[in-house]
Amino acid sequence: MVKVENKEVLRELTHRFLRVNRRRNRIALLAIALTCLLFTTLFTGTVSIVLTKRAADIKAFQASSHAFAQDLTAEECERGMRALKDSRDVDAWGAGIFLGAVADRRLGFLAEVRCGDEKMAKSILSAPTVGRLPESGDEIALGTMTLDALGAPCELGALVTLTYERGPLETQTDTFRLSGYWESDKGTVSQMVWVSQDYAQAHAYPLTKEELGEGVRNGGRDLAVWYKNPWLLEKKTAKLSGDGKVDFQLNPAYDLMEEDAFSAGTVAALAALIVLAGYLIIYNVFSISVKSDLKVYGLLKNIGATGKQLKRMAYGQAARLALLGIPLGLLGGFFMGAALAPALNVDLDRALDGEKVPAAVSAHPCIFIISAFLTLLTVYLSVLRPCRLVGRVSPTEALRMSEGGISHRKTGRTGEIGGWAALAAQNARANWRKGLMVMFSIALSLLILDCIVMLVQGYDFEAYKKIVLASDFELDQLAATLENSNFDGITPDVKKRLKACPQDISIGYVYFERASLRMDGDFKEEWKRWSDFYKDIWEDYEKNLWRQTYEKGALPVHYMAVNQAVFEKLEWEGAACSWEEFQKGARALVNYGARYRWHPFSHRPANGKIRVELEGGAEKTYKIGGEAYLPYSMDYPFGELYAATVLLPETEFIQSAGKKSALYASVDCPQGDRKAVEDYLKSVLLENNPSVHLKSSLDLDESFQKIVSRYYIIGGMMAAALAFIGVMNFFNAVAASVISRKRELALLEAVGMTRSHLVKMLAAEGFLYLAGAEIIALALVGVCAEGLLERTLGKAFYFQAHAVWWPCLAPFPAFLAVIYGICRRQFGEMSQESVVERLRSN
Amino acid sequence: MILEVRDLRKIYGAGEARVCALNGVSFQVERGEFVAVVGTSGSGKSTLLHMMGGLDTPTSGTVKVDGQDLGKMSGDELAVFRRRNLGFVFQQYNLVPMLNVWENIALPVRLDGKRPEKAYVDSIVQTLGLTDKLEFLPNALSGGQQQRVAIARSLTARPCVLLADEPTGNLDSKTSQDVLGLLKVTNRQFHQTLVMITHNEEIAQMADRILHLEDGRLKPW
Repeated sequence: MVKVENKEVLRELTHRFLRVNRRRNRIALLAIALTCLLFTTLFTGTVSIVLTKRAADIKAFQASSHAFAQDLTAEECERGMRALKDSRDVDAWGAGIFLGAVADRRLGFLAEVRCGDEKMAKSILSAPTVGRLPESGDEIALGTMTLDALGAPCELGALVTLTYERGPLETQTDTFRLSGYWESDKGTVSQMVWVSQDYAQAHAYPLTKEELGEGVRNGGRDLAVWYKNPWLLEKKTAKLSGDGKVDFQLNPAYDLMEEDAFSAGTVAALAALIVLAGYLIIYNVFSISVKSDLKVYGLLKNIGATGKQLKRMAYGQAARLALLGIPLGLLGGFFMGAALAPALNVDLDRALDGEKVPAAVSAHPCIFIISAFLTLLTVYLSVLRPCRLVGRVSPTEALRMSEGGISHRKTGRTGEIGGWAALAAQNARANWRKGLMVMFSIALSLLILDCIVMLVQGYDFEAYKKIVLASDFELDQLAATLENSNFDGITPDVKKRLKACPQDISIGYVYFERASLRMDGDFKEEWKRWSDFYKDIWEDYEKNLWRQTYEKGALPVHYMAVNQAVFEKLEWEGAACSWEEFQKGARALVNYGARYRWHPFSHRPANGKIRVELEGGAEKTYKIGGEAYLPYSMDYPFGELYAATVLLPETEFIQSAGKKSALYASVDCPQGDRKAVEDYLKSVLLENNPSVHLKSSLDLDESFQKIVSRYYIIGGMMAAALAFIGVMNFFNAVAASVISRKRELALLEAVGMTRSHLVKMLAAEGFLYLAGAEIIALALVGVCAEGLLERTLGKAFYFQAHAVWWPCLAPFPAFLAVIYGICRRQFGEMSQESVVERLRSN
Repeated sequence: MILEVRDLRKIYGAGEARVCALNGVSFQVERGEFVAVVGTSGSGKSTLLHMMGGLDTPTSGTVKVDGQDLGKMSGDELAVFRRRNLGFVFQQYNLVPMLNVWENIALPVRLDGKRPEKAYVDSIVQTLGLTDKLEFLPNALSGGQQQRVAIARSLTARPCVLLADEPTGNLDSKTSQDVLGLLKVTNRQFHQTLVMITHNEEIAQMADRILHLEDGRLKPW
């Protein structure tokens, strides 16, 4: 084959084709821009969700590095550092030592004394912004919140006296000089106090492997790692762990595979849907365009244009339209994604924690590159067949076309001309393939609309609320991890402020103390039967834990106390005990935690009494008053293999455990007062007790509304885009039908059919397509909508899908009006030529 | 000899629908000759022209243009061969509607990656009386003018053979005479080999030689 330089003329011809088909191309351009807009919105939104979630997770886990290793002995730390030095994947790393938790009642929040380098300080989000990290033995750096609590001024050089738990049952008090400080973030789980390496070397607890196993963390070493790039983090972390024989863990904030409502699968499904939607319209527009120009392509072939050249011209048209449409789509999609970001990032759990993590919006080049690439791919797939048709055009066929040869349009089986309705049915039957595309695109749009309504109606937010928030407001000082949680966060000071609330409120308290229950005699035998029953569902480590506990003969007990407000929220298994009886202090309520709630064995000792040993050594025996469960949001907040819960009245607990601080406080008030109470709690209580977390039902309600809006916005956009595509496909189908039947319609007009009849005939065809779309949509809703939702977006426990039909049927009149309008317009345009002109046309 | 057609057959369909459009047609055309192929409707004239122009493939037999066997060429090779060696004039003119007169005339040469020879094209344009129509789009021209553009286009690439299929079929008698005159002029002036298909025996008289086609076979004249 001889290669010739004819790009210029091909470019020119491509340009002319585009100019001639300007009107049709506008629709193609719109379709390409819309496809690109949907892709860009999808990826901008997805990246926003990932980044916002990452920012929230970094804060929640108080770790910004890609991976970390915690609680290492000195020897393990050495091995870990050697592995880090040898690794090619590692970009930077930081190291630190945990000396102990601050033991100062003035704080009211958790603070940890550590030494570490700059990297470690950055990883824990606690790097000094004024001054620097400590360098000499008596220097210290800490956050403003801790400084305030300790009564020290925010001035470099100021003296700070600090008491902390240096080791098990061992405290240390020293006075330091302030070398640096930073603005504390109240949302982090723990506040940091930095001391120097010299100080740490002199005072760090000499932690052994055995002590680590017993839960001692003082003197534990930490490592934080950043890799050179964020790809394959899990694999790199596993390799690092293997190399150093140290347990490095991937920071959950970077775990992209974590399942949530917008998982990678959902994004891929949405992208596939956009490809399909874009394909449907772009293919249709191009197909019509190419078929209309087929004669010209054939003529070009006659005079020597090769199939490749013709294909290049057709591809060139698509490329030019894409070149115009894609930037428009990228721009529009980015702004749409950015506008949707706040709604997309609503998170019920974060809302409950009162966290306001701003929605992150990224303009990362990858978003635009991938969106543009996928749009180009959609355009390419859409024009593939039309371009092949152009390449294969037969020169003789083109000659026949130009000589006014017989149209290849199918005319159906019956030759009899009936009324306009019969003609419409006949034509719809003849064009069923084209019609199927129209029907499917409209049906898809109806299905999505229906799914969105089903999704929103399927969420039982009240059920969710009942579980996650048993009161209008709940307060605690719990953190994401057990070690950082304060189980005595509701101090007498907080209680005093709650009591001072000017509104009429009901206050509940839940107290917590860890205790143990001795297993001996028959009771031990009963526990053996109990564990035999459950051991099949336990993991190996759980079996080991149980074995140790059983051998020790002491069962962990959550010793919890409630006042009357919480007592009234208890859920009972079997007979309930009255508050009057309970508050006397002789009776205890028991349970084994929600995991074993429906176990088949009685857990009550045979004598109906339970003897509890408090951690301080005191013992007391109670008569069992019944089996009762605290509401989920007020129960022990961390997972545990097994633990009996013993519920006591508030006064009894304060007397026996000797502490007045509670784990939770709950506040209930009349509906109308909720805003005023929330304002009080935020402005007075939280202002004075900044480490207290507030869960507000108002925040939850607001988040519910945002979630509903999110589904309506995203689903509405998708349904609207698909509906637009469906209408455009219908428009194209009608346009093609009117063009190809120009003579036939003129003939019908000539023999006496009125224009009104002809428009009705075209509209009737549209009605048939629409009816087909409705049937397909209703069938899809009936067959797959429930399953689809339950497998994708409706995985939440408070979601129950129920088929809803009205969203499929409601848009019918609107579609009908649009279809009639399109038919009228198309026929009107064609009628600008006289009947005679149209009859003469080929 | 510039064109050789040997034992050409073209059969469409099969079984009862079998139609033998050409049945063993053989003839030769010398360089610079003007040959008219005459026949009634359905005699196979257009099929013969499509075979000679490489627009369609024969069932059997060969067509050689300037010694090259068209039957041995692929689709794209045929397209390239057409734009370099063959010129076409159709009854329907078949101009590209979105290109003006000059662009239509230059198109075959430009598709070959070359620039038209200005002096040569000017002489064609002048001969065909199109000098003041070069910027016009085809739909602004009369039928006769469009056919002149088609002739000019077919000559631009200096084809070995110019194939004309009923070139006056859509024209009135006065314009037909003009167009035929111009074809004759091009034949003489540019020493252009010309094969014209027509059903009109009067028109065919202008040719140097007349071939009579009937039911797919050449009949003696």
